[in-house]
Amino acid sequence: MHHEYIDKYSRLDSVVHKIDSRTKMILSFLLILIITAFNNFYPVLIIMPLIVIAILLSKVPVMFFLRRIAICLPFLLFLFFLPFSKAVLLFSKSASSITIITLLMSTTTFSGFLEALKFFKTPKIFILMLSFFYRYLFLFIDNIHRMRHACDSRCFSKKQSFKPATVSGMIGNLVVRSYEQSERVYLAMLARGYNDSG
Amino acid sequence: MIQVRNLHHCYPDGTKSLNGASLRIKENEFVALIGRNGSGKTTLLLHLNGILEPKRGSVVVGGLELKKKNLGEIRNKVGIVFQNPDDMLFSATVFEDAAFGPRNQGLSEKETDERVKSALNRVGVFHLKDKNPHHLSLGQKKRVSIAAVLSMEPSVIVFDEPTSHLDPRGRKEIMELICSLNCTKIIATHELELLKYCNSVHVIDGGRIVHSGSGVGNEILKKYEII
Ligand SMILES: Nc1ncnc2c1ncn2[C@@H]1O[C@H](COP(=O)(O)OP(=O)(O)OP(=O)(O)O)[C@@H](O)[C@H]1O
Ligand SMILES: [Mg+2]
Repeated sequence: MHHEYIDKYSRLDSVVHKIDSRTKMILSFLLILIITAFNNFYPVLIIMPLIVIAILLSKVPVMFFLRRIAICLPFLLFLFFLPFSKAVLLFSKSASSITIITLLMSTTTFSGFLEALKFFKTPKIFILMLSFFYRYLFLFIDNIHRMRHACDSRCFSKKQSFKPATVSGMIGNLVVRSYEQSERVYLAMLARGYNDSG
Repeated sequence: MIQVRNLHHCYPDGTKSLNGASLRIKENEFVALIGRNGSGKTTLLLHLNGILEPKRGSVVVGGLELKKKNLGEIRNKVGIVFQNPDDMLFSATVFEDAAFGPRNQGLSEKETDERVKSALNRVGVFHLKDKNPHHLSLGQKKRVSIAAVLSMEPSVIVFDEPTSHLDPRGRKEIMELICSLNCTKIIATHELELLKYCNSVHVIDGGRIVHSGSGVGNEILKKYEII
């Protein structure tokens, strides 16, 4: 099945990818802290050129970052309520933070990321939840794909029969399917000796 | 080793899936459970390590009655490879998935590491150890889910359709692997050619064991609509 992974570019091979994930994590965290803590443009102006160099070194397509940055475009709406410089500052701060996070996530595999969290003594349950999230996201998307394939192969097209009843049935089915699958995964975990307190 | 007596089970929606099933399995036996779709194979197997608890009847594993207080010990002894590998694999990497069981057994990281490596090697997926289990082919997932149970080194392993999704070569490899395991093995299957590997065959129909023996004849297979 085809879907974009959160850590889509994390298996590329570059200098940035080779840096230990723990180092990258601390560094990203610090940079974001600095960028958000100060109430002026200097941190952004100093840090972002370095980040841009890192991006170029990492071989991750620049378009990918631009699309991510688009997420914080709504912040520009503040232009209407705030003084110009305040709004631009807000936008540049959020855009920089997103760029840094994106760089971290696309140069670290998700499992490397979890390893790093483990190293920093993050509670086990939290790590387990994150790894589930990563796993279930795909299961969920896969279920949608599977259902779409099942529909498409039986000539379900939007124009033809986009009946509310059909679609709501599908959504209901999707929820039940995902829920029951999570039950079964949980049972399989129990079968391998997992206990909740563990 | 395992004794199931007069087991009844009913799913929440009212489906009666087991109707007084009884069965004995000796230590180190290789047992096949066959029966048509919906005859209750999966339901019966899920009782063997307490995923489902007996409502009526009893299950005894290695002298331990299946009860809440014995669950931990029984799950240590009995491993289940589920019918659908997607239900078993949930970690970020294949390695992590295979390490899940041993860690729950309280093994050290070093022991876990060794167990996982040998299990992955045995099913021939060691080279996939850093991949996301979700991005594997179905046959590869099936192998990983087998490794995830092998790494726990249980004394009984239950396989619900171990050879589904495998290519003919893989099917032979996995069956030979299962044969070579030094423990009690139980498989539920629709593939009659696998019966030649087993020492005993149980036929289930309508939630009840209707035939037990070292083999099974064509009349019985026809009678219970398996062929
Ligand atoms: N979660 C469930 N809820 C309700 N009924 C169920 C559930 N799972 C199974 N059943 C019913 O219980 C009966 C036994 O099912 P079971 O899964 O044990 O069959 P099986 O022998 O494993 O079949 P197959 O060969 O298709 O895997 C069937 O009639 C089935 O419809
Ligand atoms: Mg079944």
